[in-house]
Amino acid sequence: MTTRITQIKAPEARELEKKRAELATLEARLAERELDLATLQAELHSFEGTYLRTVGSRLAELDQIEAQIAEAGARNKPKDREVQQRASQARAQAEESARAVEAEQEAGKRGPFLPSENLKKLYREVAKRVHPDLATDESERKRRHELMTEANRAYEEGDEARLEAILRGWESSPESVKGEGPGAELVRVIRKIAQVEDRLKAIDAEIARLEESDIYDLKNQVDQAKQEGRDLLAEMAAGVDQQVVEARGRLRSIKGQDATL
Amino acid sequence: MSEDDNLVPPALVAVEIKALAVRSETLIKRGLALAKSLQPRSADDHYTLGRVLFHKGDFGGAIAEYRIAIRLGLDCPDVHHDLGLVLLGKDDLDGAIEEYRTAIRLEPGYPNFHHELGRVLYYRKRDLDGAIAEYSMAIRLEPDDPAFHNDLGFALRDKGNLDAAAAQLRTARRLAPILAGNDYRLGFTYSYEGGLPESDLDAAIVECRKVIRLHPGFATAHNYLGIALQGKGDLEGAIIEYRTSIRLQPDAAQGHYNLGNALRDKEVEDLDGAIAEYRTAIRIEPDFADAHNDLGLALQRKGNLDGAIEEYGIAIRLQPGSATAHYNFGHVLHIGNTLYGKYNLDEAIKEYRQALRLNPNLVDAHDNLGNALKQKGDLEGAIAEYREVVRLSPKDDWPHFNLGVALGNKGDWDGATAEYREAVRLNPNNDFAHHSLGFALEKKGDLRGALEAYRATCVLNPESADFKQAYERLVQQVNRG
Repeated sequence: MTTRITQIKAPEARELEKKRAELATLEARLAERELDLATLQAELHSFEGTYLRTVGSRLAELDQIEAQIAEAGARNKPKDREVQQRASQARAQAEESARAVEAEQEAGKRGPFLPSENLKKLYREVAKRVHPDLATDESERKRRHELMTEANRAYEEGDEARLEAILRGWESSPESVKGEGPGAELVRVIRKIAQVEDRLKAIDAEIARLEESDIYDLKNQVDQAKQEGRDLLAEMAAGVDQQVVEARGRLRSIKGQDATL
Repeated sequence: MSEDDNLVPPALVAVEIKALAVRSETLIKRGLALAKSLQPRSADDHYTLGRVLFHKGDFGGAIAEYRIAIRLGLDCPDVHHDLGLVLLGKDDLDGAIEEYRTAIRLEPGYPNFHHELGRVLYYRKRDLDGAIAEYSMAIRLEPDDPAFHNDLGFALRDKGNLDAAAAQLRTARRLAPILAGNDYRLGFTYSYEGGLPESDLDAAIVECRKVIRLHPGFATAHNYLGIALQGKGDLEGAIIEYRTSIRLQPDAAQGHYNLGNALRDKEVEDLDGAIAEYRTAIRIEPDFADAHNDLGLALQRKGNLDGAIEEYGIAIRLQPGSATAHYNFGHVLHIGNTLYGKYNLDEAIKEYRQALRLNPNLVDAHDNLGNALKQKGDLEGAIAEYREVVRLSPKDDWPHFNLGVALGNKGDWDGATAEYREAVRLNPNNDFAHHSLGFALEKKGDLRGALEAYRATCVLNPESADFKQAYERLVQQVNRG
């Protein structure tokens, strides 16, 4: 079976019409998938905050005590390189955990991400109209990219008013048709389709990557437990609390004094 | 609208996705380990989860869960059997066979395990002796199951032991009279394998239906019926028949290939389905050149040009004398070069020329070679190719149109006018031909003729702003001057 390379032969209106319809469908799908990705990212971001506040902060505390234990051991064996190394690793771990928890505390408490239907609708509209991958030249794309970044932030913060303002402010400047005829227009539409398809593939890949990530897995387990009537984060926090108590005991015995850490 | 074929500037690179910044991967990993330690699962839970994952199509997950269940002590035949089944789905034949054998070792008296193992050995490994042994064991354990006799009959037939095969098939028939068309399996009417009477698809459909009525399990008859129905334009019917033939004979590459072709048809356009079927056909028969070629076409239509190139390359290696394979290879290079600035146009031209050396009457190859030469600036070469297209398809309007455009590009407006007139004569509804005729006449100074042609475009396609604009512009020009 053979086919013809219609896009470079005679201008064919029907083909152009078909491709435009295909592009419109893809644009709608793109908006939907952008929404999926933005929602997933916001949910994971919000979950991370909750996790860091409830469990992460306790793990940071545990790391701090473990670092002190390791450092106490290192002081007793200053020439043992392995012990010294273990102590510096424990300290590094404690600092990393503390930094992550502090950063979360500075960001301020966020509730769970529960976007309203209107918020989703607004975001979808913005994505459909403003998406940078729908631009055909670099300056247009820069403008769209800035607006889309702002829209992403507004969506994550649940700021409907800002999304509405972005939509109102968006003036769709008709992309200049350069007048080479339907053949060139067809090529342009096909390229746009390719751009949107590339973006869709990238979104799918990013969603797949997120769905394979540890944070997604953890969130899933917490959600699943919730459906079974369990508060897994609280159980985890209790588990870490127990470890903290045990670690304090170990530290106390090492120091030979009451731990008032 | 001008007649230039200038292309727009190169496509933009897609905007990068901003990845989610996790504050501490280590803390998350530790949380995950902690969460998992709080959710212990029993061996039964893992087995159940494995079954759920299997039904959801997550074969990798199912295998992992079954193996954990076995490691945790659930060493029962069902787990090994189910693990074998899912390994089969992952094409790990040896692993599957090993699991079936373990299931049999744990429960040697269950006939279905033997039967299933026999089918794997027969269909997937082509181990006839092994299959015969397992089917025979299944029959010893359960003598009244017609499927066991039926399958043993096929295996014996393939071994050339026709008398024993006939005995088994007769037993199967006695136990279940509606069972597959055993007589045909025995080779009585293998003349059908010769193909369908191409000249009379209706007769072929009647014949195939007659055979299927008598022997509903005869896969080849379903396959041929599918081909005949597809030939008649009944795609839905064809797909049903192909699927039936695959169900009856899952290891026949031709059935998967035919189904792939039907799914690829523009009316159905299930490209993912088609690609899956072609890949299955190729897995069964790696040297199936047509399957590689058509897989290339499906991938190309999905926009996966690199994948298409790979498949066409294989098709050419397997069938170097195939003009179509060379044409398709050239075509995908051409598309990639024109639309995405990938690949080499000279390579495309080389492939088109090779296709035409093998089949000088390949119209599309002349047409696209003309297009490629025009893109390279070789107008004379392009015109020569377009003239060939006109010679080979004299009743088609578009070749005249294309030739007209090329002649116009060269400044030969008389030649262009003649070709556009011919295109309009052959298809008075071709609005682009009318428009281009107007453009050529305008170039020749025949404003009245041009106006008439432009008016025709507006009547044929009143929605087109381009046509309307050209007409109004010329009206103003004529009124002014």
